[in-house]
Amino acid sequence: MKNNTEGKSFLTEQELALGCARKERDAQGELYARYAAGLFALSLRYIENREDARDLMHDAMIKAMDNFKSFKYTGDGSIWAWLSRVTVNLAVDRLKENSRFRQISLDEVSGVEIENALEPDAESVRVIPDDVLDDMIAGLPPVKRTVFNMYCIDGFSHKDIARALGISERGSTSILTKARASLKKALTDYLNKTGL
Amino acid sequence: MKDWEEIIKERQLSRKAELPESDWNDFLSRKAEHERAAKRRHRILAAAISIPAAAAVLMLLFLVPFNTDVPDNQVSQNEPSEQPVIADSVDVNPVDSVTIPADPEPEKPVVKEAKPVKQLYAQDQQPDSQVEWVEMGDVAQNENLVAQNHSVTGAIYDFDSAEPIYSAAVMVYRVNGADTVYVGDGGTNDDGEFRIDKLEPGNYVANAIHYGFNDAHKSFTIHPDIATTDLGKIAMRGDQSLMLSEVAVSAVVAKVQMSNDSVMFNSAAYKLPQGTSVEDLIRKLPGVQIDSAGDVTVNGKKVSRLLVNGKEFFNDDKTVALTQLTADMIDKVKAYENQSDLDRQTGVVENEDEEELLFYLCAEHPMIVLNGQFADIDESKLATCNIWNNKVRKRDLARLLGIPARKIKSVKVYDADSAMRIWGEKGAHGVISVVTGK
Repeated sequence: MKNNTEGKSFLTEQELALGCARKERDAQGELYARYAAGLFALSLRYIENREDARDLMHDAMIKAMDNFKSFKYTGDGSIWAWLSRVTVNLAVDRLKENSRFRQISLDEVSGVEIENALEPDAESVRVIPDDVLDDMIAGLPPVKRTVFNMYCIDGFSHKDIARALGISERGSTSILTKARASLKKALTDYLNKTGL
Repeated sequence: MKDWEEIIKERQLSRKAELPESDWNDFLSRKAEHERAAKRRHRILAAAISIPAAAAVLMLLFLVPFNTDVPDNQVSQNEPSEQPVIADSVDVNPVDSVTIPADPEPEKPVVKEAKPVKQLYAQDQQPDSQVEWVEMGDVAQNENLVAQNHSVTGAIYDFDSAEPIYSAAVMVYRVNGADTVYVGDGGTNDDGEFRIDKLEPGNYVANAIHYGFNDAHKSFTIHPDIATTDLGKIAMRGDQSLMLSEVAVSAVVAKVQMSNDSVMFNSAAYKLPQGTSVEDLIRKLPGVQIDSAGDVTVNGKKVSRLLVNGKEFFNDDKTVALTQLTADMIDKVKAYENQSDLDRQTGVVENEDEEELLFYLCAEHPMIVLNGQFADIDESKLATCNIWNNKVRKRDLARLLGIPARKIKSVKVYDADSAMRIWGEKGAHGVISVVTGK
């Protein structure tokens, strides 16, 4: 299924959206073939365990397919934007169920020194291998990682983050600042070590 | 965002994680399970309807034992009414959905389905997405084209060092008379510059926040003719309170503060004679209406629960709370939408009517003094804790202060008069003094 749809993806995004809104099985299959791998990668940024992340992606897909009528097509890329929002919101809810996430969040908000590490060189960051970069982001504590992912990668605003995580906007900005500082340090350390 | 962050974003977004070969089938079985569960709920509902119906028929049989025609009729009427439910559930056959994908052939319908749509663009190799889009009849983009094309820019810097502040957040609120409504936010780059797009002409306030700094406010107006409004440089002062033990809070309070899910009214902003009832106060609030039965609606939405100082008042009898309480007892009125769990997860509001609207009325809470020092309390827990009367519970205090209840050794409640004699202005709403032991 997955392999032989590559050549057939001539459906435009809008036609695909229309099919999914009518709950046509074929359109749903096509939706899955196009977006599942990307959403799985997104899920893995939030939930490390591969099986849990895959379950999350499946649940998000089911939820999206059930509620596709509420999706509004506003140009190319809008399906991905919508799917990723559904998935991230679901991921945040899963994370919040985890009591560890709540406990740690309190410690993190209280003052940790923000280090003023040097900005890592952008071109060097480009050549860091995928798995190393993944490990660095995964190495951030859960709350910092979630805020960083939501703001810097998946394009959520502080307002949305504050609402999803049940923290204040100010809390969200300060967690982000700390997450950036931690990641910057990890990047610079790695680049110094490997001499890139 | 910095260069390296842009690169991480770009790289992360282009990633595709490898899924196991069996993934599509795994997904379908999960989906089928989900549909079966939904169907089960459907059946339980159908059973719940049909059991009382059957019981009613039996009752009739016993009550009218001689007139056999009537119950016969009823039974035959009842049966067809149940059938659509069963027929409906058979329609979504989970077995069917599992077999389709295993076989490569059923993919063909995609081609068949797509062909007629394709023919629309047969003459034109590249369908114009704009035209396509208008066919959908969606108006969202049109609105954007008309009004929301204005932007605001500016730069944030540190007042003390004159250095630009990176990663500060700038929130923009639209000001409409006494109301402020959140419209968008943005972050600052290396040079402290920010830009917020998609604004309509009107009056706004920008609020810059950053860790370690006091908030900076700036009002501005967007004129219809000027596409980009530049606010110039905005200074932020370092937050001295981070270094001192005491925090001085000062704020200019608007009459109404609105965000997406809640509306807060500050009753102090409405000048009313003493003894005015809460009902009269509420009538003055914009967007709030009370009908003759005492039901309150906020922006057309009915309030389902009314809480006074964090508790239901007089067994949730709204009229008592509204007519018997006086406005000077109330300092804040807050309307808050309680979304259903599903809506919160998807971020998509499916059924607007199902949202629960809570209405809090509360007085300024008494200050809490912990071992002789004014303590910070967790404001978010106030809604469910009662600290407004003399019967304060240790458990509530412990929750607000974030300490274990068993550590609390003694609690003393001071009324406003005696509290003001000891603590001055700060005791204006009473003081609860808590002493902890080991």
